[in-house]
This record gives sequence, C-alpha cells and structure tokens, in this order.
Amino acid sequence: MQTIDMYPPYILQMYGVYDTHANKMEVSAEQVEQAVVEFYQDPVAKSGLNAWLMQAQHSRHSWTFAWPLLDPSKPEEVQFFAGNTIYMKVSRYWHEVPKEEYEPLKMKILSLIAQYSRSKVILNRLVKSLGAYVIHTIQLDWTTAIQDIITMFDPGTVSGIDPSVALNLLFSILTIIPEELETMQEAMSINSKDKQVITGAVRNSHQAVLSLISQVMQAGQVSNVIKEVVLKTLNAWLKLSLPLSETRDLLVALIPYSNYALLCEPVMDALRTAVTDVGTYNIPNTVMEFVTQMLRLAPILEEAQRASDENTASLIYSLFTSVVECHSRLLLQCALQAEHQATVVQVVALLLQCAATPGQYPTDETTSNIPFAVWFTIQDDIMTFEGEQQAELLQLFQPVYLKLVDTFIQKSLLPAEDALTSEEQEMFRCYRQDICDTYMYAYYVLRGEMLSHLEVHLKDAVVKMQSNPSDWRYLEAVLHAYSSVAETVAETDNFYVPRFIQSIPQIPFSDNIQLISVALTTLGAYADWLNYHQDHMHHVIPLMVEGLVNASLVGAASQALRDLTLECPLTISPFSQPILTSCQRALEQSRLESAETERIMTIISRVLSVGKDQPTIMTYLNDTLTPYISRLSHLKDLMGNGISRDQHNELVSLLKLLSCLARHLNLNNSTVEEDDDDDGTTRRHSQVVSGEPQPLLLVLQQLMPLLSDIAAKATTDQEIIEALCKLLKNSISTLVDDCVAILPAILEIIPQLYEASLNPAILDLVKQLVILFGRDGNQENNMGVLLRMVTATTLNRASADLWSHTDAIHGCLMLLSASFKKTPNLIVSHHNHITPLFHLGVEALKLPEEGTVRAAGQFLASFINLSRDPNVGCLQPVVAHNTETLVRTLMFCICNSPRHSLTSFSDVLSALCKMYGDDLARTFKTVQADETFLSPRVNAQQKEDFAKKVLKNRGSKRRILEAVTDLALIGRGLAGTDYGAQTRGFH
Amino acid sequence: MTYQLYRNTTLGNTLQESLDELIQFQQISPSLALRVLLQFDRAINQALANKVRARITFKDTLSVSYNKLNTYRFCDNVWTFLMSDVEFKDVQEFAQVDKLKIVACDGRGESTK
Repeated sequence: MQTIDMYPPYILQMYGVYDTHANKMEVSAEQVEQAVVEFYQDPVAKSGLNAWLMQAQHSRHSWTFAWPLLDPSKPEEVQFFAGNTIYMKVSRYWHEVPKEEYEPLKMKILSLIAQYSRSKVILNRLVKSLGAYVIHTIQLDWTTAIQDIITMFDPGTVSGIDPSVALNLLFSILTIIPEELETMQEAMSINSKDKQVITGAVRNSHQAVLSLISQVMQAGQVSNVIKEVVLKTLNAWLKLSLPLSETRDLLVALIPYSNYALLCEPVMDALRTAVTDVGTYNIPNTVMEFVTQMLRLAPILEEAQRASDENTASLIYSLFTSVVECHSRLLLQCALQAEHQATVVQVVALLLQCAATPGQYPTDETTSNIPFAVWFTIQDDIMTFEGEQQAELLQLFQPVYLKLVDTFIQKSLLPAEDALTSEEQEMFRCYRQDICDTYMYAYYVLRGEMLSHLEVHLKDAVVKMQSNPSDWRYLEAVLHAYSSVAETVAETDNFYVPRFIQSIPQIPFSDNIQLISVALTTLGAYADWLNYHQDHMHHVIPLMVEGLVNASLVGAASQALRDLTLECPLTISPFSQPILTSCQRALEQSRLESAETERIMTIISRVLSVGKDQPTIMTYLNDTLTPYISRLSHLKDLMGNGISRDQHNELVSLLKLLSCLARHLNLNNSTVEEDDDDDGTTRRHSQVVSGEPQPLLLVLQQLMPLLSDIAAKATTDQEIIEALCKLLKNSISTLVDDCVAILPAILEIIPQLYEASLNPAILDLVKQLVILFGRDGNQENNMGVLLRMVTATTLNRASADLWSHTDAIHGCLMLLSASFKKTPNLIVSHHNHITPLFHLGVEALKLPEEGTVRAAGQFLASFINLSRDPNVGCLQPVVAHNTETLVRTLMFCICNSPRHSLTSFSDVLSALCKMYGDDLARTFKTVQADETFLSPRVNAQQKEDFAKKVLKNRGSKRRILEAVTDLALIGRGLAGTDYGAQTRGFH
Repeated sequence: MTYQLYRNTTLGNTLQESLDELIQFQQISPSLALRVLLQFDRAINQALANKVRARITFKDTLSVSYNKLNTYRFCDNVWTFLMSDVEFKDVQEFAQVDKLKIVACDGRGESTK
C-alpha cells in the first residue's frame, strides 16, 4: 500500500496520518470525509486542507477510499468529491489499474450510474468516468463498448430505471465519449498517435449511434427536451469527422425540426459541423448536393421572418454564412457550371437578403451584420481565378455587389439624435466600420461601376437635400461611402473621382455642420489622390479654409488640411496664402482645443516650409507666435509664485505647440542633403540652399532664454520636462548639425533637469545629441562631459534603490548601448565609472520590467563584445573580474525571472561564450560545485548539461537560447510537461 | 484559425508568468495550465476577430520623413511589416511611434481553410 507524502506535517498530524517514526501512513475514507466536511464549512480558513485533499485524491489510496464515500447517506459534498476522484483516477491514473481489475471497475461505475441516475451533479462525474474508461479500453479490451452501452441502457429492456431517464442517460454517455476524446490529450497524457487510433476505434461504431439517433428523432412519443439531447450527441459525433455521404440523409431529415424553437439551434449546429468539416474539402460534389438540399431551409426562414422570429432567422443566416466562408472557392467553381449556378445564386441571394434586413441596426434588428465576412471572402476568391473564368464570375457577382452598395447606403443612414443609447451607438459605429470595409471589397469587384453608382446616389441625395434640407442623412451616407473607398481608388481613377471632387462646391450644405464635417473628412481622405491631381485642389481648398474659421468645423477642417499638407507638400503651395490667412484667423478668433491648435500649427509649418523666402516666413511667424510666446513668458513668471493647474496645463500645451512647429517647419524637408565626411560618417545639413539659416533656428535662438528659465523653474515637473525635451528633440531632428548655435543653452538645461528629476525623456535627448555630436571634433569633449554627468547622476541616485528608478536605469543603459555602438570613444576615455556601470547592468538584469532587462542585456552584450577590442583595453579586466557574478546572476534570472526576458539573458551569455569561452568554462565549474546554488530544482547534473550545451554552441545564438529555455523550464519544474513543451518557443 | 502569436503579448506573457507561478506553488497542474493557455489562444483570437473594429492605413513614402516602410515579408501565410516614424490616426487624435512591427495573420473564421 502506498502512502501520501510531501504535505505539511501539521496537516498530517491533524488528521492522524502523520507518524513521527515512519513519517507516512495510510488515508482512510473517514479521514477524507471529515476533511471534506470541514473544508466546505470554511474553505478560506482551511486552504491547507485543500492541498491535503488534492494530494489524497492523487494518491493510490483514492482507489480505495472513494467507493465507500459514494453513498447516498453521506453528505452531498463528500459524494461529489468521491465522484470527482473516481473520474480523475480513471482518466489520469489508468496505468495504476491492473488488467484483471478492468471488468470489476466497469461494473462498479455502471452500477453507480444506475444508482445515481437522478442526481445530476454526481451523475455527470460518473458518466465522465465511464467515458474515460471507454477511451482507455475500446482499442483492445472492450471493443464493443458503444454497442454494449446502447444495449445496456435501451429504454425498452433496461430494468430499475425509468425509460425516459434511461434514454437521457444513454445519450449523455454517448455525448461524453467523443467529448472526452477531445480533452484526452491534455488531461490523460495520451499522445496524438494513440489519440488517432482511439478516435478510429470510437468512430467505427458511428453507424449504430446514427441509426439510434435516427430512430429516436422519428419516434413520436419522445419529447423535444430529449430530442435536444439527442441532437447534441449527434453534433458531438459529427465532430469526429464522420463521412458526409453517410450522415447526409439523417441531416436532411432533421431540417424540418428547425421549425421548433428548442431544436433549431442544435439542428443548425449539426448541419454546420457536418458541412464545414475538414474532410468535406475532398468531396465537392457531395457538398454541393448537400448545400442544395440545405436550401430547404428557405421556407422555414420565410416563416420565421413572417413571425418576426429573429432568433431562427439569425441561426439560418449564420449557417449559410459558414457554408460560404468554408466553401467559397468551391461555390465559385460551381457558379461557373450551369447545373449548380442556381444553387450558388440562391445562397448568395439569401445572404444579400440578410444584409438588407429592414430596420435600424442594432435596435430593430441584429441579423444584417452576420454575413459581413462573406463579402470579403467571395471577392478575395474571385481574384484567385484567372482570365475568362474571372471575367465570368465578375459578371455574375457585379450585380450582387451593386445591390450590396445600395443596401449599405440605406443601412448606414445615421439614426435620429438620441435614438440610440451610448452602447447602441458604439455597436452602430462598429457596424458602419464593417460597411466601410465592405465598400472597399465591393470596389475591387466593381471598380468604376461602383463610383458611377455612387454618383447616381450623390445626385439623388443632392436633389433630396435641395427639396428638403432636413433630409441630409442620405447625403451623409453617400459621402461616407465615398470616403470609404478613397484610399483604395488612390491615383488610379481619372474619370469619376474628378467629377466627385468638382461636385463638392455645388453641394447645398445648408450650413449643416454634421454634413460639412463629413464632407471635410471625405476630402481629407482623398489627399493622396489630390497630390497627383493638383488641378482639382481649388475645388476643395475653399471649403477647408472656410471650415477653419468656423468654431464648429475647425476640428474636421484642420484635420483635413493637415492630411492635405502632409500628403501634398508641393501641390498645395499655390494655395498657401488663403490657408495661412485662415489659420491665423482661426488662432485669433476661436477658443480652440489643444489638439486643434497643434494641428493648425502643423498646417502653418508645412505650408511655410515650401516656396517661401525667409523674410516672409519670419514675418508670418512673428505675427503668429508672438502672442503664444508672450503668454509662455507670462506663465513662466507665474511659476515662481505658484501656478494653477489650468495655467500649468496651458504651459504644457504651449510647449507642445512649439514642438509641432519644430517638427514640421523644415525648409529642407523634401530635399535633405546627405554627403559623406572624410571619416565616412554621413553628415546632414539643414541649411537652406540660399545659405540662410532655417527659420526654426532663428525662432529658437530667441526662445532659448525663455526655455532655460522654464527649465530652471520646473526641474521636478515631469510633464513640463517631457514637453520641453520633446520640443528640443524635434528641433535637433530638424536642424541637425545647425543646432550647434543653440547647443550651449541645451547643454546648460540638461544637467539641472536630470540631476533634479532623473526623467528618462532627458536621456532620450542626450542619446540624440551624443549620436549626432559624439564624433564631432568641436563637440566631442562637451558630449563626453554630458555623458559622464548622466552616468554619474544615475549611479549616485539610482544604485541604492534600483526598483524605484527602473525607467531611469532603462534609459541610461539604452543610452550607453547606443554610445558603445556609435561613440565608444566617449565611454572609454573616462575610466572612473566603467566598473560601477557594469555592476549596474548586472543588477538591472534582476529588475521586473521587460524593457529594463532588455536594455541591461543589450548594454552587457555590447560591453562584452567591445571589451576584446585592443583600442578599448580598459573594459576587459572589468569583465574578467566579474564573470562569476554575471554568470550566477544570469542563471538565477533564467530560473526565476519572467520568461519573456530569456532572449536578453541568452544574448549576454552568447557574448560571454564568444569572447570569454575559457573564463566561462571555469566559472561554470565553480558554479556546478556549489550545491546550494539553484537547489533544489536544478541539480548538479542539470547545471553541467546546461554548461556543456552553452559551451558547445558558442557560435549559435539559437542553440544557446534553447539551452537557456531548457534551464528555465527545469528551474520552474516544467521540464517534461506538455505545458513546458508548448510554451518553450514563446518568449 | 487559432493562432498562438498572442501569447507573446503583455497579456499572454503575464498569463504565462502567472501559470508558471501557480504550477511552482502546486496550485494547479501543468495540464490545467496548458488548458488555460489553449483557452486563452481561442478567446483572444475570437475577441480580436469579432470585437475589434479598427482600421489602420499606412503606406510606403520614401521621400518624406514620416510613415516609412523599412521591410516587409510574407512567409507561411504571415505578413510582417517593419516601419519607422509611424503615425496612428484615431478619429481626432494622432499618436506617433518611432518603430513599429506589424505581424498579420489571416483572421477569417475557424471554419475557413
């Protein structure tokens, strides 16, 4: 007799199973019963009992103690525990059952099933136990299991059980068997090859089951409740990939049952399982015949619609949607054959009818959204045909898609205001987005035909709007359709899009804000097309510039113009004057939101960047920026005396506004010069061709004193620091080398901010400067000082409490990694910090954030790789003296840190292996000798295997990652489990 | 289709970490953890396919300094795009990211192909 071990001694003593001499004892049914009762009385306080009960359940004792507990006189929770234990033992511990016990075990389970036939919860456990039993024995020991079970529970002959209960029981067992097959691989540790064999053995009995199902479905005296159970059994068996040729007749005979509310869903499920099974791809003719027979559902659908039975209609439409999604290519092939074409047309017409379900989505109906995916699939598959076949299919389906466009225009009409709740509005928004996508697919089938069709709708909508301005929703829906295909038509159409653009000024918008907003958004979507058709720009610009000065339209207008200035930097140039005037008026007049002001500043910057001389630009900027800079200066003055939250937000917004200017005001935007210096590095110049400085530089030169003052007053204000850093970063990106003129001011700002705040945004700025100027003869020294300041500050402030400064450590290590690659001269020329920085990198490997660990990995790998370079000799001793600390940290982290960081650990190990192979081999030996290290999960042999795998594969990063992953699984106790194997490749 | 690529997301990684811990503390068995993970695969594939309506547009613009497509590949029915300086447009708002990797799989229903 086996005994339980590994559970806490106090639990064992409490239940009398702990023997101080032997340390192990047996478990009795009484002890288990007492434990279960006590546990259920107070599950939270007795969580230790849970562990004990689980252990008892897994032990060999459970084969003994479970049976006496399955007694109706016992408390229900005890009986349930026992039932569950039997299921677990039969399914997962089958290897513990000797062959001579198979038959007695079966008899015990069957007799208990009969005994508990009316107790649903415990019966379920017992039925699952029988299902697991059948799966383990059907292959060799109980090959007639299915037939025997059908005979045993035959309601006509069974004794001791009510016939209707017996029927229910029989089908419950028959349902459980294929369901248990599904879970067996995970739960019962049965490999996929055995699963195939067992599935084959179960499937061999399908005819008996199908015949039984057919009989019961035809029997008049059987209730629909039982028939629902029967249909679920059928569905479970169909999932075993039964041949459609054998199930077809039964399935077709079931179609009339879909008229009954209770049976409709299981009938549809069964039909879907059968017709979408993988095996059906090999029997196209049978599938087509079956689909033709499925059309017998059409009268049931009509009846459901007459009775406003949305549930039945949805189920039928969903079934046909699945058929098309699964067999679209077959259906298209058949559409080319005269004998099948009618079936295909009828199926597609059914789905078109579904899309056109009358009423408002989602309040009146929720079925029209069902076939959305179908329209993409059909279109996508039509395009896989070639030549005449494709032409024939297009001819057949173009009327379908045209009808679909008409339908969608109707279905996408905006409802009256307040007609939908916020949740319904969101559903309708998603619905319109799906329509938007489907317009795109329709365009691929229809091309010019669709635009021609939309033109007809546009004319109709304009006429309706003219006669009744309140009837604007139709026009809005048509504009929505135009905007949906804007990016798809791109520059290819030269006939319909010009006509649409030309018609915009003629549309009677009647000051309807909602309508004009949609028109502006639509025009913004055509920005790419307009870039290739400059001659049409004059049709769209007036609406946009007028929109800018209207407080209700400035959002949509600024967005459309922003799109236009980004897409058409050159073609928009002739319209710069009205745009700039309107922008200025918008900034003066309206009370704008921060995002709108930023968009307008982007428009101004982009427009000024093309075709303007410097005096013109400066004059405009002076006029535009002066009020903002004055306001910024005023807010700066207030900062000393306490600034309100609103004023603080305003200051941040102003910095963001200037950030937009710095990003987009670039006179060299489209003609950036690149040439090589003597040392081969690429240099960039921002100076304009005329030799004059960039206007941005002139602005910044005036602005820097103000920014310095703000920085001095906001050294710990993270929001202001981040906005300021973004502004400086954008400025440097635009001006590149020419920012030297403002560099002294920037170099003054950075230390005071970083020393006070350790904000990673500053490190990002430093990285940009170091990469740009780190090899510049004039600035190299300044960059060295800057880098030293940053590293010294990070070490001083963060080393004592790494967990509180992970973002700063992350930024600092990223900066140093970049510097190792681009400007190693800056790091190695000052030795003082090198050892502490290496230690910081090693310690950072233990931090919880993935990004910080990745940065540490990159830093250490760069450090190690560079350390063998003879020009930077100071790094090598640091690595050599700290190899053991690094290896121990890496191995500890591999076993304990989140698994998504394994690649980072592996990268460091690869670098170490490549550059310090001998040192690593020695270190591994030392680590192996330390028995306590990584004990008890990782033993000495496993450590040795890991070391061997790493050292053997020093050239292969992939193999080293495999070794690291294997150690990670061992360290977590997951080695050898399916879960471990399944999750091995994802980190 | 049920893809496993969402395991390598913050949500997936965090779930795996939690499962790892639960196994180590003997709160659940590895086979139950695997079932949870497979359920996660099914649920996230279904949710992303059916509940998200987001349209992202991007294009290769070589000469200007935004929206640059650096690399793209199509392998084993999976598209991969590597982009830099990408702007996301969400109705009224813009968000900018320096580097973007898009991994795209065929998201059509389970019954499809």
